[in-house]
Amino acid sequence: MLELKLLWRDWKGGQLGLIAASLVLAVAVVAGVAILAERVQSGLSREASGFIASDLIIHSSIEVPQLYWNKADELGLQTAESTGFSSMIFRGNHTHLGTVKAVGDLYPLRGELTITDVPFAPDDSTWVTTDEGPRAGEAWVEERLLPIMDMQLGDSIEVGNLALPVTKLIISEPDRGSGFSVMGARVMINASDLPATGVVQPGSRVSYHLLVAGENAQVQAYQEWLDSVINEDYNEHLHYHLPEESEERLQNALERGRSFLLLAGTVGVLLAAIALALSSQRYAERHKDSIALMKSWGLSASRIRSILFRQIAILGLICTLIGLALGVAIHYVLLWSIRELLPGGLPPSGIGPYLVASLTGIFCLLGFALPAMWHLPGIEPLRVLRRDLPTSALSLGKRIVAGVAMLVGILFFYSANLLMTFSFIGGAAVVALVLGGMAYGLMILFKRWATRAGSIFRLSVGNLWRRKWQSIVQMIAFSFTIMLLLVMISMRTSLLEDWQLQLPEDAPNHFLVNVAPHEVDSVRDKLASHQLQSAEWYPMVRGRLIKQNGEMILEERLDQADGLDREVNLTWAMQLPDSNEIVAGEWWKSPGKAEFSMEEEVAGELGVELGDMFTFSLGGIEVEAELTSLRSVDWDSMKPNFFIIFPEGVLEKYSPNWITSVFLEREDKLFINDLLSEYPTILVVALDEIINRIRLVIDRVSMGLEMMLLLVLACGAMVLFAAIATSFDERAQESAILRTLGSSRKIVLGALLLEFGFMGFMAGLVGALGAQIAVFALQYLVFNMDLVLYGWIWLVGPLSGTIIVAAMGLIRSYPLVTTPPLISLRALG
Amino acid sequence: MITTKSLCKTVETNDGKLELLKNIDIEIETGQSIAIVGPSGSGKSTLLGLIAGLDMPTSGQIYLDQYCITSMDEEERAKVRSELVGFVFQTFQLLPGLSALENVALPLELRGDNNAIADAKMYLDRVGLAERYDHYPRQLSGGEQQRVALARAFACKPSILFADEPTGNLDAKTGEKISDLLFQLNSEEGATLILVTHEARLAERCQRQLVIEAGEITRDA
Repeated sequence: MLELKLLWRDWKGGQLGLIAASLVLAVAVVAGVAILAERVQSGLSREASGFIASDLIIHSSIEVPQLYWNKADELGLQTAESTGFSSMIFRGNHTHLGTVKAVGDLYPLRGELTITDVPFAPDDSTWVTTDEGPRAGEAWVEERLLPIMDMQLGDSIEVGNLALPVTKLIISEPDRGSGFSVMGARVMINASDLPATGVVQPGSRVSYHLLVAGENAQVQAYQEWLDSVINEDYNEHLHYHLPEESEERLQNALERGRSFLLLAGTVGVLLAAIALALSSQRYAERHKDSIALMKSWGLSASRIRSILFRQIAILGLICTLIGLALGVAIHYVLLWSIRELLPGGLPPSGIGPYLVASLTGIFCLLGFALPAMWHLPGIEPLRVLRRDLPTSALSLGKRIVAGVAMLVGILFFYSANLLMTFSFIGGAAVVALVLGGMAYGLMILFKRWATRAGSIFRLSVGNLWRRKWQSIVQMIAFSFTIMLLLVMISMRTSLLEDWQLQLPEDAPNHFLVNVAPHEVDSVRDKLASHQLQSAEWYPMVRGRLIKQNGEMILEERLDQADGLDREVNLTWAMQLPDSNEIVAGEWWKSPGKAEFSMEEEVAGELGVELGDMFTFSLGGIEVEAELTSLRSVDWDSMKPNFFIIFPEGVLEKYSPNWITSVFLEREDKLFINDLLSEYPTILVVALDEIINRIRLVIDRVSMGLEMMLLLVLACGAMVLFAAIATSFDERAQESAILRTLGSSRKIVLGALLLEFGFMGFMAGLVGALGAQIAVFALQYLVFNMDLVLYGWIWLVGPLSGTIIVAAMGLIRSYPLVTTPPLISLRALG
Repeated sequence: MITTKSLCKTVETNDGKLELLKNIDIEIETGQSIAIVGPSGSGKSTLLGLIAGLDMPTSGQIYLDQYCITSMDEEERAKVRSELVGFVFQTFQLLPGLSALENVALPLELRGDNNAIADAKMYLDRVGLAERYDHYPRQLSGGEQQRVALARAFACKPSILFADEPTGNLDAKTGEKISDLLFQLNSEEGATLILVTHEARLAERCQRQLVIEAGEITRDA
């Protein structure tokens, strides 16, 4: 096939290297990221599934109707039951209001329980994981129940009418949750023992759960069916949720990780597309003469167009296949780097990533390679006699429009995120305009100074001015590269810092609840004696919001305000808590007066105004107070947080108990045993395991981010290389002529160094500007983070631009001064 | 037979219109060798380009055999060129990424010639480059490159061969050898040869000399 033969000859002649490399890299980056993202997403979803011990969980306050079980069976899904309720647990004279969970034989469908025979062990060497729950006739309990009930492993407890020996201690269960709805110690029994307990009676407050697991398609089909059948009648009794909804921190981590992977892939594609545009332009320049020659032999424009298009198509196909293979390899390298964090492996990806990557290759060719070569069939044959004949290339404006349109298409198709797409396009536009203007202005300035400067400076400025438009295009390419790399590094840093702030290593991981007022000082002293630092202590009084401005608040309105639709914990404080910020009103307008502060989100859901008078019912006693401020609350701070806060002097007489949070290392767990033995009425809510799991997921995602950054850096290097190569032929000729005329190597190299250094500096400076704008946009619009100004960008950008561009330019251009001029001139024709 | 009638070529410049050729009337017999000579800027290459169908005149007609190429569009002219025309250039115009053999074979391959490589080898042998099939232009001397160009031009078996300063980039001795080869091959192949040169010795080897000065024919002998 002629086109294949011509393509092969072009390849041998070194004409296609950069184009092919750019295209391969564009496809490889997209493939690598997309495959990895899909597999990690599936794997993390599987991990997240552990948080609800299933792929989908239905919650119901009545027994889950048989219809739902049947449908799950019909779709080939695995099912398991779980029934939860609070019940008194008895052992001799000891009692405890425990949180009982009766689980079916298949529980958990996802995730594992961690159990042990050794309570409060200083390390995890005695822990065992299992994917089965307790069998009939036994109970598993949380280790903190042992000191409460003054018992040991093997002793029996009574749950309702049934006595069960405690055979294992639960360290963690996959669907434990991190809320305060599970304050009593966990007691887990087999569902077949539940009838014998006699605890569940008509009217009992019981949570019924149907756990479902299976392939993605099956679960999705079940979910769609659920959406169609869960109607008004069932709404108040029954709802479902998915793994990513189970734990907000995890959901955020997954979402951000996914967004960053997407960002990395987007940046990689952008860089590869820029490299493709530059290398295509160089290819077109170098083929003008050969096209003119072919036309002189009688080849028609239509024939040439046909040959070119077929060559592009064949090249595209070959590069796409290689790119896909490389993408698979890249994702394996990335996986290998985080293999220790993925002991269970990841599910395979579907065909989606391969299609996305292939289409990216096509888009890149259409948007960046084709416009650069569009004019070639129209080259005049007269060029064989007059090489100075101007060529009517596709206008820069049209090529920019084609490129930008394809960029928007690629970005949007790949990210499905308009905000991210336009953040980049916007940043890029700013960079191009500002850089173009600044560079042109500076070149005019330097040109004026050059007359008084030394020969190296004059030569470099002359070169820049002579090729000013080409230089500006090169600078824009450098600038985009630096901008995108700075964006990547900033966002990665931003994400990691944000996660670290949310879950620092010493974040409180245990809550001490229901501490009696007379016990606070002694518990505080006990903590101090063990070198344990607690967060602030807060008093709590249970109350329910009932009236607004004298009128009863309707139940429907309270239902809108998630958190105020039931009894809530009211507290008082004179200092604004650390994790709170006043957003409206005043913190304690008139201390001593009955006023209070409300959390802003529930306030918005309820529909309130500052100055409204609200009435609370505290065990039947009404307390009225004025709403004087609204607060934002950082619920992720792992410190006690409250919807409603009063000042001192309002609630003290309503028998509060106290709450605090504390960080405990694993080896300090025995302290809990000690504490509960001395203060049996205190409730200890342990969140350490769930925090550890979230942190593990974040670690996995972070490692992935680091690896992606390296890949994108490689793309960036390629762009710089391609940009430098665009003017290589011209530089080669100039250098050869200068040396023929007697210029020393020092002068030629010095001029090149200054030229590239200037371009790199300009590119770095404007790249930093574009990067900061893009980072702001991404932080605010995509990642929902606070805006952070990165000062280091303004130093690193210009510095790295100068050094890297100058170095790469010199390295690439060094042969120009070592090759004998005659050979250079011959090679250039 | 090549005929031009009242051929004119005018171009726009910053200083206004510039007449490159003025009312050129020529008739060239089939198989004739003709040298177009004149000082630099006289319009020689312009005339060559027009007759070869590479460019269009401002006015006038050009006939290559039965084809009136001035009434054709570029696609039609390309077809005529593919049938009738071959070129040799001052700068050789070899494709740097292709070997000598590939350079010669390329125009044949573009025509769909299944024997392109064999024919290319034969012509390279005829120009004395049998040992240099796989060498690239950068590995060849100027004279060798022009010999490859000659092989490429004649391999297409043109009816009309246009040569634009074929020895212009060569030293006198090499140029002489190339001239010998050019006329030898042309006599063997029987093409009409139209040669642009400023070298008197080369021009004298042609059957006819056309002198152009300031866009007009001043002598035709």
